[in-house]
Amino acid sequence: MCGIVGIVQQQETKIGKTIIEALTKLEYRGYDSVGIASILDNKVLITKDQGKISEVTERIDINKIKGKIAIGHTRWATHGPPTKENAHPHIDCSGEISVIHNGIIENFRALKEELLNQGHSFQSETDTEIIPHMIEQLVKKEGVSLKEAIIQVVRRIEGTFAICVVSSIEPDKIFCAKRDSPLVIGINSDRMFCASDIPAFLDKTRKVVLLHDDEFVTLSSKGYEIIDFNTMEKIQRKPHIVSWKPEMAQKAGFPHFMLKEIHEQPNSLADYIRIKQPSLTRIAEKIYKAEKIFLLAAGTAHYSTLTGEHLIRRYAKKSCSSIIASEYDSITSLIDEDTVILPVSQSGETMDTIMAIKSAKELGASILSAVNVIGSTITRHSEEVLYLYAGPEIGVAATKTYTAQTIAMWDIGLELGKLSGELNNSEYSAARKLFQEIPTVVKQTIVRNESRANHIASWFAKKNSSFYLGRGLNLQTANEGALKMKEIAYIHSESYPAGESKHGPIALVEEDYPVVFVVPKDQTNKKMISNIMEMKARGATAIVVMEEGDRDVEDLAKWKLEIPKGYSEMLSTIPFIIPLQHLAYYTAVRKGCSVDTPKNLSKTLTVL
Amino acid sequence: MKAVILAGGKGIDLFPLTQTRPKPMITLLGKPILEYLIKELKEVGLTDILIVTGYKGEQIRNYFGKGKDFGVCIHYADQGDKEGIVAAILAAEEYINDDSRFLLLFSDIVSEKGLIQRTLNAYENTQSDMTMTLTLQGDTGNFGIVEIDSMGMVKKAGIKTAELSSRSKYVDAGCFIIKTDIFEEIRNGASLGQAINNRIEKGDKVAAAIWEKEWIDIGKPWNIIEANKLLLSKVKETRIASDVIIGANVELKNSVIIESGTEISSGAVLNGPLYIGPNSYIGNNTLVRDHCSIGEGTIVGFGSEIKNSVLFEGAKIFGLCYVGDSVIGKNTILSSGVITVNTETPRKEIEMDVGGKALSTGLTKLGAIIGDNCEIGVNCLICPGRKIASGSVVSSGTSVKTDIKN
Repeated sequence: MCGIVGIVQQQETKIGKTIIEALTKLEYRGYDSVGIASILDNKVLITKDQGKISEVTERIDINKIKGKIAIGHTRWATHGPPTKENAHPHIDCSGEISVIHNGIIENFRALKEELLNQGHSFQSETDTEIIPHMIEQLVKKEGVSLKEAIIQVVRRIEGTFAICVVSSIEPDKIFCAKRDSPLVIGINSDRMFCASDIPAFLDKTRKVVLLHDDEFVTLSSKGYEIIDFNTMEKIQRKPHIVSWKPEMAQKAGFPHFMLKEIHEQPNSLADYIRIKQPSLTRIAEKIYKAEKIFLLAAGTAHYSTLTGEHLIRRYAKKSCSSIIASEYDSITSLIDEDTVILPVSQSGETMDTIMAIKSAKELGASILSAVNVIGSTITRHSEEVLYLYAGPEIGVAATKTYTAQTIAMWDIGLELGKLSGELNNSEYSAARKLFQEIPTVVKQTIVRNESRANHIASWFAKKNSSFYLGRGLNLQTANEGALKMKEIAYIHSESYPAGESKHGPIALVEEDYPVVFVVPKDQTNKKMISNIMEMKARGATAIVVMEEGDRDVEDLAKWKLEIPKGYSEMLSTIPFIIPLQHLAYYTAVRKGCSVDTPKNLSKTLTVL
Repeated sequence: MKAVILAGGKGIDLFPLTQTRPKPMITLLGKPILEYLIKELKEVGLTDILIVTGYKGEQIRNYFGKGKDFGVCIHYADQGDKEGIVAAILAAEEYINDDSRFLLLFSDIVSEKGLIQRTLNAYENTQSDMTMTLTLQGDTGNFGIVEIDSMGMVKKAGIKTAELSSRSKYVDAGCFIIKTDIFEEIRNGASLGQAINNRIEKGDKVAAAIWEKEWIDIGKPWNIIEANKLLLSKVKETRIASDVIIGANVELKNSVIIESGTEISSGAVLNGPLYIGPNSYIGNNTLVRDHCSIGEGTIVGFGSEIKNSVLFEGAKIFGLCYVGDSVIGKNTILSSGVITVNTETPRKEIEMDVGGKALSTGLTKLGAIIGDNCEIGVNCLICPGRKIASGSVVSSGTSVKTDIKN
């Protein structure tokens, strides 16, 4: 996903500032590099760099760029790392035609080949860069008009796109076209906008024209003309007035980003599985060879590294510890050349983690990371990176990035099992089969438990304290479930190893006290049952996350949340957390909490 | 965009309250439930409204008229003797005329504010062809189940229960944005759900607008009590009209709304949130508590207790009665000492006979559902979940153990 925006107006103003304001509203679509193309004195001026909008505007004074016309882009890298070269806009050889693009061009390799043969030279690794060169080829070599050239190009490219073109050839127009990627037009009395999403210009105008697939638009400061780029027929479409509040827009039909992101998990996990990363085997080999292994993370990511810790111990048969990044000092004396440090982070910018890996690197340790944001600081300090491919996550409470981190841990774990022989061939392939089916299982888990979680939430919302208990691997699930509940619903929730709960926490249990038990049908099952009975005897109300059809557990619980069969051992930490995400979400909704932006918390902690 | 409200159903399952009124005219906190929807339509700027009436439609027409008092412009269509959603939608076709889309609203829903706004937002945000508002429902019962994908788009609508073991728990919340192409599908014999599915197959994008807040479909009698509780739970202020007479030692707790011309006699305890309509009389030493809605011109006699109940206008509860978790119809009289028993002993879930079938209500507390213009004699005892037809006369001292049907 990327965000694009274009403005064409009658007056010359500081257009860079307006573009930056609009891009900031689109930052949810991507934020790893920013660029703008404007025209001044009949010359195309490109200003771009890698980094978040706020970082780039600190380095470069984009706000001062003047002009009557400009396009801007905020990128989320998928192909080609976020570098200055790969940032949009891209430009042709003559420097006259600039293009921004959101989408993926599938046939770009063949087209690029053709252009290279025609003598064009490329600056970036992106698919987008072929577009200005293709236009240039038609305009300069074949004498086609600019508009006609763009139309011919969009007919030839396959894939998804929303593109905007500005050129010094016709310096008073923006040309746009779209297929599958979003693009809308905004209308003011003396200026016109185009953007990926309406919030980009909603503070300037509420008059909006929606575009359909395969449409081509010519925007000038005086008006817009829409045509179907296949049939060349003119399309008359009147603007309509949007009436909603801007903050609603980016969530589609979901009330909160968090709920949207919970529902996205089958997709984000499928993306992770689909993209085969060569770094995986190298990471597994390095861990297997290392003498000491430390996993490093903060917050939610820490609970995913506890899954990693468990799996490395189980499959690599090595002593391994998961350390909270801010507690890194406690292990500095152990770090040397035979140490592997595996930081796990959503943003790749968590300050505690960055400080720790910098220090470990100086002491000679190998840094192998699992990170969501491509090109982030942590990845730049790493020998190998396993990307999480979860896409941007907006809700402060991590959901889809937690499951992405956890699946990455399992991915590494299974490879280690194969390397060490702890998993023989048939066990390994059976595990890989389960691994492939995780998106389906997560989908079923969502469908089956959402309304139950909603129902339980109406009771839970009246409570002010709770326990989450688990054993073994799924102690992590209890930890993460409790964290979600306290983060967004502001209910004190303490997670504890179930066996340890009688050493203290049980003293707090009273009539109708909520205790959430994570009870897969594995070797912990019997012991968990006796823990449930223990708590119930003191009046606790049991909510269980269990494998479907586990009658022994079901009979003890007031409420059950069910996971499809077959995932109690291998990969359990992925499906078992899903109902607890929903439980925290609906409890927060019942309490009227600000779900996406809980008080005192922020998404990326760039402070120590 | 025009809005179409379907208000022509018979609401048979709401017997006995729909014997005398169409479902949308069930009145809570002094207003018919349809009025709440019209108010919300006005708030989002949809003032061009068609109400499709049918069963007892004249009551709706008389109350809302052309909509001037409500700040909107109301037109009417009649679905005549033809029953069902499909007939109602077709009755709206002429009014929609050459518009390409319209908002379709069922008239029997009560929800927290913002449902219609959510639908419009989702429609515009996703730039979809159509939009359905969905909500989670534990017991999916007769609702149309809707399957959505990870991006919040509708994959399949109108699924009947028990089709799949891992079926979705999202149901349609009775609020849609519909393309007029749907008329053709429906004329070809499709139900609303099928018609939407046909359009999805033909390439239309249908967005789901997910409603995470409270939502009640008034399908069964006990839903009236739940809806009343929902509406009252959102009342955050106490408002007492200036001419209300309040006697000595009257105790008010939480939010209480008392309308003009009402008298509260000494010793009454009013434990809100509750609503007391105009020109009512609440007698000495009464206790009114936990989400009560008391209609216009109602009398609650000496020493009676009213709890979590809906009293329609002109109901008369004489001395020493107990009305708990019940609905009492218009102008119905409960003579002294009538008790609505609201729990089973020993405690268990209460069942209700709906259309000849015993349905589980999911409630452990539920009293009686009494129609309009009834007269219940002195010291009658009404068992939990029993219904009494409108116009019934029950002689003194009766134990009502089975429903009284005309």
